[in-house]
Amino acid sequence: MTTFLALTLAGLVTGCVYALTAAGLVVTYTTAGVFNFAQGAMGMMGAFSFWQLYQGWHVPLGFSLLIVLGVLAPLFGTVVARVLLGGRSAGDQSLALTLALLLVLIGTANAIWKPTTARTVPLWAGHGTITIGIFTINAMQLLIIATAIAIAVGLRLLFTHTRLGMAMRAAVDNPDLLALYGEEPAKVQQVAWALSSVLAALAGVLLVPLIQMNILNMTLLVVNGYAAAMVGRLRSLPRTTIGALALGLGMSYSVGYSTQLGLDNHQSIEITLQQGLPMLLLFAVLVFLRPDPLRTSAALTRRLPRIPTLPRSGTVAVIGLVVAVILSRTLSDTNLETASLAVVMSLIAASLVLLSGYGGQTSLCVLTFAGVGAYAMSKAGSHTLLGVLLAVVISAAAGAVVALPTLRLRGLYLALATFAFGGIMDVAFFGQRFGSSGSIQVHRLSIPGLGLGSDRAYFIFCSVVFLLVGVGLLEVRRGRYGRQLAALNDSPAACATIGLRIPRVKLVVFAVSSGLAGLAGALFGGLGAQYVSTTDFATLQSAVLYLLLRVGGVKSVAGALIAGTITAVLPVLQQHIPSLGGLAFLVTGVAALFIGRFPDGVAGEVGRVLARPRPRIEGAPLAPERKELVGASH
Amino acid sequence: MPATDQAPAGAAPPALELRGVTAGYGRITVLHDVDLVVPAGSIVALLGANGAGKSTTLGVASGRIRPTRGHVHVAGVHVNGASTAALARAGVCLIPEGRGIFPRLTVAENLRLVTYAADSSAHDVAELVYDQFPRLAERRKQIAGTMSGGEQQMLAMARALAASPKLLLLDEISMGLAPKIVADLYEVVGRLRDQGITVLLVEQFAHTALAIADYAVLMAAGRILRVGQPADVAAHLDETYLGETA
Repeated sequence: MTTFLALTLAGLVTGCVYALTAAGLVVTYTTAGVFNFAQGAMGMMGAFSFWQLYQGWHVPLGFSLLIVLGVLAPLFGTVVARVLLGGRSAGDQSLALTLALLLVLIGTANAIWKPTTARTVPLWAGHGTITIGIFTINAMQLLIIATAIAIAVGLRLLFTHTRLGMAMRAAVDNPDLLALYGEEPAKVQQVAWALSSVLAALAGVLLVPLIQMNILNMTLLVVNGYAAAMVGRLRSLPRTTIGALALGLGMSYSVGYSTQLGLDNHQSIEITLQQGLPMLLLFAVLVFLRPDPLRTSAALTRRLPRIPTLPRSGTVAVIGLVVAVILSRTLSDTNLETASLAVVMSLIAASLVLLSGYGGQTSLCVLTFAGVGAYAMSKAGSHTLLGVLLAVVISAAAGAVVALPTLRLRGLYLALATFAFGGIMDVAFFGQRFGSSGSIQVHRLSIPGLGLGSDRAYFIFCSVVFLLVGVGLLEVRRGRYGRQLAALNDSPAACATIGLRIPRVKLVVFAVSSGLAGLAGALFGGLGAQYVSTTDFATLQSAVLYLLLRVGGVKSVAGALIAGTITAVLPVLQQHIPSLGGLAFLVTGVAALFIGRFPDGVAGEVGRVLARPRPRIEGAPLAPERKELVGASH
Repeated sequence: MPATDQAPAGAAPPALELRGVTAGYGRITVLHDVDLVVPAGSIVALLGANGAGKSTTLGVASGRIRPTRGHVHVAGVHVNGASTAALARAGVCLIPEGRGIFPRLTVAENLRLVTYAADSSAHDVAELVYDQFPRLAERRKQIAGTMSGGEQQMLAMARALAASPKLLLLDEISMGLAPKIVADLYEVVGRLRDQGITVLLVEQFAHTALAIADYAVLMAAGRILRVGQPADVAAHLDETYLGETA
């Protein structure tokens, strides 16, 4: 009984922290239409700023709280709303932008607060305890529960009983109309972001005496709030609160009682439950959500993409091959290793070009499929082509398995579902299957006569695979299936009305894309030391790769090459600048903040400059196509 | 023809005055050097075929679109560059095309937002509106987006009632509605005029608009073709709608 009460209390406290975070998510979603991936990172920043003031600089408690919650957090929220989102609320872009913000914050925190230093914050609400019967609660826990209740009630009143709250809710649907009512929509959204930022910081500040201060863990802990917010469909605060409490209690009970069973591997089970349960709930809630009806929207594509013809892409591929051969002969061993990694990462990114670039399906778990491929290669085939084939087939099957329950999800919901799937796989598959060392050996592919045992030959081989896949992708994009994907990306509603079988198109694109990622994973395993580890395929790294692809250009194979190259180069850069921790996150995040301005990425911008019409002679036809059109009309 | 002439000395300034306004969207220019005067206390109907620039004219008047050239005066005050929200608070009320309501909010919440532009309290606004539209009173707790098209348009018009604006801009309030409801809505427009509110309305059903208007303005291709009494303008309607703009 005592155990039960203790677990209930712990669960309630955790649930209340989730509720606070989830409330922040609901605030920005209902008012700005933005799902803020960076909510957890904002809470982490709040907690670390608080530590810096209160413990680092010995600022009195009251002032520290006031500065963090009353000045820094609202200021940060306002700046994010003004600068980053600038009143815009475009779904897909805002998702990538807040994801970028998440990385920037992790990177910044790593640069300011060295992860090697141990930091603690005392129970700042006091050490006293209150005992009611056999129920003992300390002041910090009491404060967390009281704050969560106060915030829940306060937000409810704000949204339903004040004009500002109603204006916040109105702003998301139609900001222009709100202006006609006499309220500045940008101002309303800034207030909402400031409020959400305060809620994040509040959660961080309340949580920090109870847990270890770790940048990544604190950020990801708050990710658990995603599941709670999703229970309320990102809109209903009461349901969100219930979801948060249920999650907190569920985790507390399952972890507590599994420990009591006294199993040998109870620690590993505990970690699995703690990290896996929220992701499982998130995935389940998403899958069982009532789907939004297909909405017709005026998708405005400013520029039509130019798809190179086969002779053209073939020529580029041949040039690429020549470059690869030259590189293989000139690069030093270390640089060759980096280059090989770049090519394989580009191949993984290319699988995302198909799925996200052409098909418009955001996936945040691409590395999970690469990991499945590497695992299949390691276990089933060892260094034969059969192994590679199995890697492709098994990853494709895994992709289809994810796609099936999520077929009706789109946009943000799909992104979150893939994120949750990646999270589940991190703990339940890679965490278990890769053993206690967290790594397994993957033999390099060996084809008689090609001498792939040599690193240089293997580099050329991987380059050839990438170039073939690149040319193939462009062929697909030009063909019937590519047009279906583009149509699906443009308007699912219009696709449904012309009888396109959306589920089938989606299923196929998921399977093919995952198969490609699996192929890349099998090749990845054969690089260098021929070992892969769990961290290689972590979901957060998938998110980083996704963002880098957006930076490079999500709709182009060149963009994939850029993304893969940056992925490989960043760790090298980090080695040279060890003082600036989290450099990879920082660089990726900052670069990705610009995708609002350059939605087609580096490749798109470069392509535009190259394709700029040259000065033409008066009366000369604009382009050959134009001439044909004129000719046909006569 | 008072709709373009300068107001006589001593009279109230026109509710809206556009002088040499050129405006558009990005690089596309829609309005070319438009002069328009809406005398205080009148109903002016703005007519023309699709793409004539009617909605753009309303957009300029409400501050949604900034003119690239020319001047906009509301009740004698130069308002170029003022934000939509500022103009709304200053008494310009645009009921936009489609339903000018917040579909996820309840009827009562929609009305609560009206008080930004109105000086009156939330309670007074609700009383006034429910008195005029008893149907809305029955549905005050309903989510606005779940009401019928006519009821939604009533709610949109309720803002015009409650805000008692200096200048009311109506963009195709009849769109997609049954004739009976359109008649009801226009009855409200007439009543608003009787209260002294100036109305500039854009309407596809030209004859409905002409029946209530004091003056009519005919537009084509971003220019004003003709201004005058409704009967005069009515005589020239067909050629405009059929494309002969000369």
